Amino acid sequence: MRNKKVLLVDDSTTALLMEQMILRNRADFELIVARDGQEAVEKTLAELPDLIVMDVVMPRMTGIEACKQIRSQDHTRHIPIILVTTRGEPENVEIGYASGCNDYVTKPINGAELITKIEDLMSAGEETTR
Amino acid sequence: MSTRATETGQPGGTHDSGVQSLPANPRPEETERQDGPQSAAAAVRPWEEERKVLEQTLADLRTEQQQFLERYVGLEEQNSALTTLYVACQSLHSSLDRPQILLIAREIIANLIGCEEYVLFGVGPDGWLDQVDSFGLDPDAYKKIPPGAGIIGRAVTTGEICQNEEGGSGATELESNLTVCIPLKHNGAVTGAIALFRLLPQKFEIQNLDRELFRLLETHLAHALYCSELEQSAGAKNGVGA
Repeated sequence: MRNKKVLLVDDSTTALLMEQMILRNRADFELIVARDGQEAVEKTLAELPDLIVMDVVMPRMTGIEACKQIRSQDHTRHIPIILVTTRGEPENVEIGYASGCNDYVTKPINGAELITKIEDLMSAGEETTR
Repeated sequence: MSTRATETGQPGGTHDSGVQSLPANPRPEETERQDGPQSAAAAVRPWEEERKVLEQTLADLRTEQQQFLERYVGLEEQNSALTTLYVACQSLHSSLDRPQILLIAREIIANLIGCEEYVLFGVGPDGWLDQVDSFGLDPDAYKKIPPGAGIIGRAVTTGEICQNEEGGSGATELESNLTVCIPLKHNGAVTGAIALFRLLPQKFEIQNLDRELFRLLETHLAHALYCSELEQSAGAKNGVGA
């Protein structure tokens, strides 16, 4: 069985390292990295990851815009997206969901919470394709 | 752990051969038919005892499962905390470029602690605190802080991490939204301070991991900034970047 590909998108080196450290111990994840929304869209089209964890505030293209673009493409619209937001207020969360994300986590990232959400979305995806 | 039913020799247990044993007594309804209610009660007794043993075993297993679960959650939290501290330390020492270190400090404060309002000070030759970097606040309001003034001054004077306790005294007007001030120490001497103001809305309080991060910043950020100064002066001496 092939490893699950997870695309991590963040312009912050520290946040990316944190996410990589959290997911690195999971042998069944292959990690890909992008540094902004534009690169995230390009890598999503090229790599077709199984799941995307994406920051909201980024240069060139925000996570919200990238999320909309990924959802607008036929062969990427099904990919689960978790947005990482600094602001956890309802209005910000609402904007995230409106852009098409499946779930969100707030900063500072809680490792156990992120892993649980990733596993939930991946198992939901497996059940859909079964 | 209590003795399991299979080890007690109670009815329903397993012999060494692995064959399921039958109760020594006949079934209660058969006994009642033959000898009346008293014999039936006697026949039921071993079954009742076995049921009690099994119930106790089940309760013990549930307790043990709960203990394992709590231990697992504790280990997960510890693992997460160590990961956070590793990432902070690794990031702070990943560069000798001063602007890069300041950016990393900003990222640690925002992404790992959860605060987007802060000021970084350095202790000037006159003992005043000079602003080195700031984020999310009016930088002009925190340009210079006199020695010993308010909570920030106290953190620098005492070399202790000072929290702005609710209802506590000693805060200046500028420190009304201050959460905590961390002195930066190099070789035991205070070289600066980080003042963290309002935390992110989803962050309700300072937690144990945050305190660990404060202690890490206290020394490691001071070291990283000191090394960047050395690098800068060495570069200047060698004419690099001139």
